This record gives sequence, C-alpha cells and structure tokens, in this order.
Amino acid sequence: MAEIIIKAEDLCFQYEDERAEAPVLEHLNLEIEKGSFVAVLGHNGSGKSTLAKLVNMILTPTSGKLFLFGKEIDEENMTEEEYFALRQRIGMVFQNPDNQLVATIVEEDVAFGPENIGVPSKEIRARVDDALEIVGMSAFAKHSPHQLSGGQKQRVAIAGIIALRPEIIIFDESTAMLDPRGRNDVLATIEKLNRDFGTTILHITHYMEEAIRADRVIVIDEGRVHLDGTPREVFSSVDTLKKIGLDVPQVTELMLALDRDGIKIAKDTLTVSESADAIEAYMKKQSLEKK
Amino acid sequence: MLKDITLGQYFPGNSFLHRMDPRMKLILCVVYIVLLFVAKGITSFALIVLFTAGIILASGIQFRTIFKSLKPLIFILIFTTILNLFWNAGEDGTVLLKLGRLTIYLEGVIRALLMSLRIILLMAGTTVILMYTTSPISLTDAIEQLFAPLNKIKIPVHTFAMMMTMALRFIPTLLEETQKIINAQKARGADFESGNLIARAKALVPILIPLFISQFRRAEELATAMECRSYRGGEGRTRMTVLHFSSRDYIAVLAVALLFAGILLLNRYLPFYSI
Amino acid sequence: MNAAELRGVSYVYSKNTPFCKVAVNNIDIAFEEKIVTGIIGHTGSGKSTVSQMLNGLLKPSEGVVLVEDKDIWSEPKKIRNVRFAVGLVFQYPEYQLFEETVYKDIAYGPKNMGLSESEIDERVRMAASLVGITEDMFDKSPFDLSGGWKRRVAIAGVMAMRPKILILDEPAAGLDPRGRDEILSRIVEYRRSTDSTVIMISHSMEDMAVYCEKILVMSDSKPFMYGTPAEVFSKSAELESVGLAVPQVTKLMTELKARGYHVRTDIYTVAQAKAEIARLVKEGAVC
Repeated sequence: MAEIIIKAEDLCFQYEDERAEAPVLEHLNLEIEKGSFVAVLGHNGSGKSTLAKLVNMILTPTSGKLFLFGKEIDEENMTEEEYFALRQRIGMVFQNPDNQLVATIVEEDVAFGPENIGVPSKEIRARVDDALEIVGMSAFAKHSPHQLSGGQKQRVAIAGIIALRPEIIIFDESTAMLDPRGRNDVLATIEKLNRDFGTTILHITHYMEEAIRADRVIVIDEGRVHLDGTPREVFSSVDTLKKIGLDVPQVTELMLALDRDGIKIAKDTLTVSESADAIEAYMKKQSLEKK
Repeated sequence: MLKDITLGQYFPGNSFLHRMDPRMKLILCVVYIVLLFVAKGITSFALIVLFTAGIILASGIQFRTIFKSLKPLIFILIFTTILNLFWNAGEDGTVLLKLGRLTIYLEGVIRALLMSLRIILLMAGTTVILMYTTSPISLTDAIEQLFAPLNKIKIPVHTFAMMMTMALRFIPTLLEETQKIINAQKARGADFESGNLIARAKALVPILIPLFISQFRRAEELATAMECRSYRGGEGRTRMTVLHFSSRDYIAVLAVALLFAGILLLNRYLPFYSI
Repeated sequence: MNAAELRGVSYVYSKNTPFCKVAVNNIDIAFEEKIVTGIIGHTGSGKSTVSQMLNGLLKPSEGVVLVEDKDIWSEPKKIRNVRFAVGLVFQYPEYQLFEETVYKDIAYGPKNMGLSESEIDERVRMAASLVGITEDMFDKSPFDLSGGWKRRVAIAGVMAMRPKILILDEPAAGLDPRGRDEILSRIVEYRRSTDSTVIMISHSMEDMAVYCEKILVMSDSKPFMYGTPAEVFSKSAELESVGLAVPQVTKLMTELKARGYHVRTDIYTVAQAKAEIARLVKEGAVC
C-alpha cells in the first residue's frame, strides 16, 4: 500500500462568527494515498471547501487531528520555518481565476511563487518555462493575464503552483466559473499532473462529470463522508446521490432504471461506450437463449 | 467602452532603448530633465532637440505618436506662450510691437518659444525614454531596486513596488467589471444621463457599492492566494529577471554626458539669447 | 407572432481600433413568443451580444432589432422603455446587488419605471414569491445571504419589472445541481404564470433538454441550428463538429445505431432512453 499523505482523524471545524451555528465538518475521518487523484464531491455548503482549506492550513481545525506527510499539524508547537516548509509542499488553485494572478505578465506571475521562496534566478527561469509547457501556455508567456480566457487564466494559475513543485495540489472548485471548453482543458491538465508527475490531487467540485475522471470519489454532505470509493462504486448509489442533491451520469441512471424494470443489463456503467457494450452483450445473450 | 482605455502606453519593441536597463533609463531620464532646466540659450536648446530627435529615431516610435501624446498639453502651451510673450525685457530689450500699454519684446518672443519648447521636450523625452519603451513591470522593478537602500531607513520599498504591480495588474479587470455593473444597472432602468448634479451623483451609488464589495472580496481572496504561494513580503525574495548593465547602458551614459558637456559649453560661450 | 426578431444584424466591437472584433455577422433570428428558448454556443459565439442587443444595451452596427414587430431604435431616446419590456439578467447577477435590504433591491427596477408605491409593492411581492423568497427575508441585507439566495434576489429584481421578454445569461452558472434545478424550474414557472417569453443562455445541453421548448445553437457569430430539443439533438454529429456535447443518452443511442441496432436518435432524457431500450430488448428478443 502506498504512503498515506493526508490523514484526518475526527476532524471538526466550526466558524467562530455567529453566521453559522452548525459545525461545517463533523468528526471527519479520511486517509488519502500518495499519488492518487481524489475528487471530493458535494453541494454548496456541504463542507467540501472547508476540508480543502484545512488541508492547506488556511484554517485550523476546531478539534481532531490532521496529519500531512505523516506529520501531525500542530501550529502551536511548530516553528514558523517548519510551518512554511510544510506549506510549500501543498499547492492550492482557487475558484476565481482573476483573484489569484498577481503580475501583469504571465511568466512573471508564474515566477511569483519561486521568487517568494528564494529560488536562484536561473532555476526560476527553468521552472517557469517547464510549468508553462506542462499546462500548454508557453505561447502566452509574454501576454497580460487580462487578455486570456477564464480557462487560460486558470491554467496559468496552475503553472504558478507547479513552479513551486508541491507534492499535493488542491483544486478548490477551480472549474466552477469556466465554460465547458475551459473546464475540459483544466481537467486534462490535472490528469496530466497526476499521471506524469505523480502529484497527489484533491479536486473539490460539484460536477459529477469531473468526479468520474478521478481514481477515487469522496462524497461529503453535512460535514461527513457519505460515500467513498471508485467512481463506479460511488455512482452506482444513484438514490443516495440524488437525495443529497447531486447529479449522476445519465447512463448510470438509465441502467439502474432498466434494472429495476427487470431488464438486467449491468448496473454500474459510467460511460457511453461501456453502456453500449453492455447493451450489445445483453442483446446477443438473449438472442442465443432464444435459439 | 471603458476597457478600450490603454494604460501604461507601452509600445513593445526591440530597439536600443527597449533593451536598455530600466534603472539606467530612470537615472538618465532624471538627468535629461535637469538638463532641460540647465539649458539657457537657443543653441543649447537646439542641441537637446537634436538629441531628442535622435532617441526618438532610435526608439523606433513614430513621430506622429509623439505628437499625439502632446495634445493634452495644448492649453498649458498656449498659456505659457502668452504669459512669456509679454515678458518685460527691460531697457536693453528690442521692442517688436507696442499695443497700448503692452509691449512685446524680441526677448519675450524667444523666451515664449523656448519655454514652450522646454515643456514639449520634457514630455516627448520622458515618454519616449520611459513610458513608451519600458514595460510597467520593468519600471516597477527599476524603482524597487534603485530605492532599495531606503529599506535601511525603514521605508517599505518592496511593499510600494508590489502595490504598483498589483494596481497595474487589476486596473483593466476593474474597468471591465465597472462596465459590467453599469450594464446590469442600465438593464434595470438606471439612468445616468439625466437630472441635476445631485441626481447624477445618486445614480452612481448602484455602481459604486457593488464595485467596492467586489474589490474587498478580491483583496481578501488575493491575499489568501498569495499566502498560499509562499509570499512573505520582500525578505528572502529572489527575482527571475536580474537587471544588469550592459555596454548599451554605458554608451547611453556617454551620450548623455556629452550632451551635458555640450550644453554647459554652449551656455557659457555661445548662449545666443539666453533665458 | 414573434416576441423578438433580429433582421440582418451585425455587431462589431471596438470599431476602428486595433481590437476590432465581429461579434455577430449579418444574422436573422426570430424568437417565438410565450415559450422558453435556449441559446447555446461556445464563449465568443455571439450569444451574449445577441442578448444585449435585444434589450437595447448594444446598438447593432447594421440591421434592425424588432420587439413585438417594432424597431427598438426608431426612437433612440425611449430606449429605456425597451429595457423595461425586455428584462436582461446578466451572468453572476448577484454582483449587481447594492441596496440595504432584499426588498429595496428588488424594488430598484420598478422604481426606475416610475410606478406608484402600491404597484411597486405588489410587483416586489410577486417577483419574490416567484423565486421563493419569503417575506421574513425582505428586511435582511442581501449581502448576508448565501450565493444561491443572492442570485434569486437579483433575478427577482428583473422579474419585478414584469418584462414581456425575460433574457437570462447563464442563470445557473456556478450553482450546484440542486441550486441549478431550483433556479431553472422557477424561471420556467415565471414564464408560465406571467404568460411571457423567456430566452435563456446556457452552456449545458442537459439543462436545455429539460427546460427549453426551442433551442438556438450559435457557432462562429452565426445561428447554426434551431429547433425543438429532439430535432437539435438528433443531429449529434453536426453538434459535435462545432465542439458541443450532446446529452449522454443521446450519444448512447447514436452509438447503438452505429452498431446496427434500430433505435431512435432523437432521445435526450433518461426516461425516453429507458422506454426505447425496453422496446429494443423486447423486439430484439422477438426477431
């Protein structure tokens, strides 16, 4: 089994101001393996973004324990240096692409992170070129961010994080404000980071189409983990997902509906071609039986 | 549309001036301004005109563009000209024209011309040297590095430079957002054009409030995002582009030094109607 | 009768500047009255430009815009009246809220129309109830509400002007599935109860399939396809050629047909697909 890179034990979180009475996270337990691509699915207010902010140490847990890279996070007993060193190993991409780019030129923006941690100039140059290459934005290196589309801006933001060489990248609803094309580009970039560079990905989203592309889906509702498993396992729980108010792939829903009507084809298909294969197999089997 | 407003007025290029170190450009620009005030007579001004024409040619920027940039100065120029035209040259002056109690001296005319020329050169020279050929970001870098010694007396130079960069980054976004809010309120029947001054000021409230709110949210999100990218202020920061002087910069220094010497000599030996 | 029509309309942004860009190019579109029409297309396909021309925020560079058979620019000074007749809800409309209370914000549009106090009150209450805002929320600050509720307040603010045509630019953008279904079904309900016309811009084919009676597909600054959801989705190959995705079940049907099964391809909901596959299984078993 691979190394556990994120571990939450009885994690609770509650906002201090009066606007929220109910805890946002309630005794959440979770283990995430190094190198995995995990989608965290939930509706707005389910606590999924709070989880992201806890893992990135923007927020501090009210109670419970959080381990990152096998180390318990305890801000009071950590020196500032330890804290920052740990933080550098985790990157985060936010929702609004406009509110995370700081420089007037794309490559300058990508350089911002490495500059902050004091990387030598020559190496920054190399890291920036690499990062822009990975996200496919090299041609826009000298552009100004406001000339780019939402999806392009978001890829620049990802490059800015890659340049810091983090081991975990959290995407906090980074696709919510993008059009389908932009979303697809960003998702392809995420998959590439996971596959080619072994980066551990925590992708927070409410789009089930995106969750399908992960290795593992965790459904959070009312601050707790409701479902946890491979996309196939999770999405076959059509009723639970619908009750929580989340979408399921149309084909999964279709197959389940057929199953309930006594047409036992296959219940857990996620894609069009899988479903077509299953239907074809069923038809062939039936005509054989007839003969 | 608001977003068509161009900012920074930078013309990307690859000329001698574009490739100079921005710090040197900044320093030489200050020297150039000083020279404009050191220059006294027609001859020394002629020398600066030649020099300025030279750098404009070297910058690859069209003269037409420069003239356009002078347009906003027209009132100041007219005002300066009229004011200086009636300058009293005293008893040694050559009287050109007497209009009742007003006397126009030849010296006054020359003075008016040179003063206007000084303003034109001030504008043309500095825009070409700095604004047109230096990207805002390298200008900010130059300011940050040149003023770095001020850190010793607790002036947060890096913070100011960061603020400038961010302002440059977000002005286009802000304009775009303003336009969006204006459109949204117009769609709800907002009327910005009619009514008296108070009514018009009131009509701006539905634009300003959403704008402020979104800027505050932006500031907050941006601060978090920067923190997540390990930003901890100027300390221990390195830069991707390290500025360094090249032979190009030393040639520029030499040119300006020669210009300086030329002006001093002309001022002293051949001023020709000194002001 | 058509609710609105564009005849030979072109729009060019930033004309005579280096940033000049043709947003729509000599298009003719008619929007049928008293239905929900969906406009779909990629960013930059011209769909937002069309919506802003319909309510007179943008003036076409060429051609005429007709609302109820009247050229809206025949009297340019009265263009504000067009904006009351054709209500436009922008993308992320919650960013336009500014008043101290929910009630006042919804009342802003009707107030600008110069209506009487009692008329304003009646319209605010109607619009609020249409989007599900209850009276106990009237005195709250809109800024204390969650994102989904803020959006409802903003939409109510336009509905309160009781426009004959209501245009919404991606009303569900960024909402979770529950919020999305809630908002979209309320919009359809608004259309039914006020007997008005709704035009809705969206990126989601699935949403279009469920909530719209007619779909206009835009591509490359021009209308590309127009028809009922069944008509539009049956041409999935053409839609995919302009980079638009069709609903998963439509794709499944097209795939099955390609594999030689006799199935309909104008299917776009799970219920339709279920019926069709059940039929296929039954008939397949027979032959």
